[in-house]
Amino acid sequence: MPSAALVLAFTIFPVAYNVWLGFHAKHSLRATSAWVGLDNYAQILADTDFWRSVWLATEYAVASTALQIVAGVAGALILHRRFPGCDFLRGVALFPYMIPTVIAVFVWRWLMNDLYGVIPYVLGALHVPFMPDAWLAHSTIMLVLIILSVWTFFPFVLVNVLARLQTIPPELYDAARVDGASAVRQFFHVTLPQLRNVLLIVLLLRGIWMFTKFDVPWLLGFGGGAGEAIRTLPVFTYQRSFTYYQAGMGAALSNVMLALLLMAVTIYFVAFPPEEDHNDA
Amino acid sequence: MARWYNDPGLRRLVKERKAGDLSRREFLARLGGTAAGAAAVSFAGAGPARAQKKVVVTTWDTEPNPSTRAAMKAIVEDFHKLHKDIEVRAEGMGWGDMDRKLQAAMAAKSPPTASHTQTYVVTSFRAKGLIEPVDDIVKAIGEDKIFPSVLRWLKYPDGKYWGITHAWGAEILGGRGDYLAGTGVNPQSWKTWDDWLRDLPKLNKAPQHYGLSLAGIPFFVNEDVYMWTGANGGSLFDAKGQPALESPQVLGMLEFWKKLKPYLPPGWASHDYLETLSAWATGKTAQVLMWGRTAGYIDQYAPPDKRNPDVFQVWPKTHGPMGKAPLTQFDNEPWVIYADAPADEKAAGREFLKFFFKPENYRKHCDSVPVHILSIFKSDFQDPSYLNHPERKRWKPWLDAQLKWVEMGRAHPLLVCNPSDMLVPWIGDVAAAPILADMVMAVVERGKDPKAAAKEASDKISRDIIGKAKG
Repeated sequence: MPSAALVLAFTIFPVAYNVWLGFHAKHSLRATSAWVGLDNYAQILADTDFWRSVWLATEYAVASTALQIVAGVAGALILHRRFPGCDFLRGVALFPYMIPTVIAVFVWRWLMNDLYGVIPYVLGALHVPFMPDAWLAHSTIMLVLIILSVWTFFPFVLVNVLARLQTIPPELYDAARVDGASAVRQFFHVTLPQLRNVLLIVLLLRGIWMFTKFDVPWLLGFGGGAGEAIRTLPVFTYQRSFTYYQAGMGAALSNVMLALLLMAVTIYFVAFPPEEDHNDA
Repeated sequence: MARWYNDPGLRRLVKERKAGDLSRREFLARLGGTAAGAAAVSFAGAGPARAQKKVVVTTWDTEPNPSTRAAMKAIVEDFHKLHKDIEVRAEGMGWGDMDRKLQAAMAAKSPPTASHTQTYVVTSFRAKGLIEPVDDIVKAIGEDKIFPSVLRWLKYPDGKYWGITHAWGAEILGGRGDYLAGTGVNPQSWKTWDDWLRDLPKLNKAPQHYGLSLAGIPFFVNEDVYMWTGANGGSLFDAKGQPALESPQVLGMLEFWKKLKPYLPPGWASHDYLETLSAWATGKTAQVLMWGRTAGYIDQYAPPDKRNPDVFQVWPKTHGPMGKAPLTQFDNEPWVIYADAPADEKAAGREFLKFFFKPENYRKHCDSVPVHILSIFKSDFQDPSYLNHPERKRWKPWLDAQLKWVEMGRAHPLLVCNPSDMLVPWIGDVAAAPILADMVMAVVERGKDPKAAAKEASDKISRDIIGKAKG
């Protein structure tokens, strides 16, 4: 009973209340609300700002997830080998993931600041070509958001992939070498198939988490100014509830976000059904 | 921990459990409520006070800095000595936190007893029936003792005061006097935007320092939108409270902002307000729109020999071609009393606020940030003990500049270009939303046509704010 009550209180009830609220117009400062049926959803679908926020969230999620996977797999492959200092490096590699997000974002804001930032200063001193005048401007802030997110979250991929790498039987690589496979062919024909299931799960989780990520884009851009260029769907939803004071509309937006994610996850599992692990060559 | 035994409720519960009259589940269920109440009382050391139930007054203010917290703590402690039946819990927080906490509290019909807020929020809250008049507090303080320009923004057509300002300030244009050498620029001659634009290139030596620093965060963009619209003779709202963003005055303001852009740091759209102050203090910008609190940033970041008003000067604000006088922001943050707070707490809260404004207590509050938290009492500006505070003496030109704005009558609260704008019921909602800031960014950063951007912003205000307010 207590566990059922906890599940009800912290999972089912908030979701059900949110669905109910999405059918109402409610000012965030008032306790009362008014039934509006599907009006909130109709307005959402007709709002170009909503579609723009979906696009920005998708762009952010796809780019940052893909780069996290690449960085995480590359890091895991390096750290899978034994070399002097590899244990120390394994600890250091986790460091970005352990820092509280607010600290990580604020440090990056200062690193990229156009007046005081170390990174623009160093890039300027090295006369690196094609550098923007300001990294946290409209045209470049999304790039900074993606880089910052990859740096912060790639250790999650690294840890999961590294754990899987260590369970791959070495006989598979021996057999591949006997067959004359180069290192690259071993990666594509032995390593990658063995990593398939863990990569599918990591891709799914990171994709969902990046699509629904609020804290990083909000702290980097504050929802406006140059931050308008990274006003992803979670930020847009937050602003509807807490800056437009439209709790009902905010609830409807989060319901739409949930629906979009459920659709994406369904398509994902149809396209990439999980396979049983086979450790045969 | 043995103190729990002093609570009769807990003692009875344990006795029943031991006697087998309660199952384990029933005991645990009842223990939660009983023990929480007993623990709160015992850990607070309020054993003796249990016989005397205290009225708890909760106040939220927007001065989290340590010196003001210390001043508030001293005021509360003195109040407790005189009112042993009242407990005041005074909490300081930043504006961003205040907004979110208030939303959650008010949606739950559980607001604090009193809090700071912005003048435009008083209009919105009053329209929604969320606050109560404070005429009794104003009367107790002495209506005739307060600057009329402070009170005028809090008295509504019903003749009542709906808030009482905790302290005021006026935004001023700060300029680096040490950057004038050799430029031939005389800021004191500026009257119009053309004068300012003519001299900005001479003050701009990018990338060493830029002509002007502005904050790009929506709240601060809103400040500049209404100030420059008002300085251009316009308003953001028409007589019926509908958005007037397609007016020539607002379009002129957007065109003016485009002309300022070459003299702003390239990343200005991501800068927050405090970054602009530190940019000015460290010499990365020649000018900044600032408040008295900037003195702290100068002391923190500027070279010791430059920490004075000869270097960090006050320069005049200017007006647009369609305006006759500049406009500045009046920071007139009032205390308000929330209608949904319990009656006994509201009564006690009013007593606390009357105590807060007593001269000996209020002086502590103002002295905590002397150049920023300015007294609402006219007499203090004639009082040597107030004026001779070392910080007020050091930054006297800043104080004088702020007083002059107030005397001129061209210091208005946020988004209030014309005094009648105060009565627009959704002015607070417009201030909180990023619509105006998006309009500016579309024009200045993304090159959108000002008319198209203004129309889009007007439509959003009509649909997303006014339309929802009426619904």
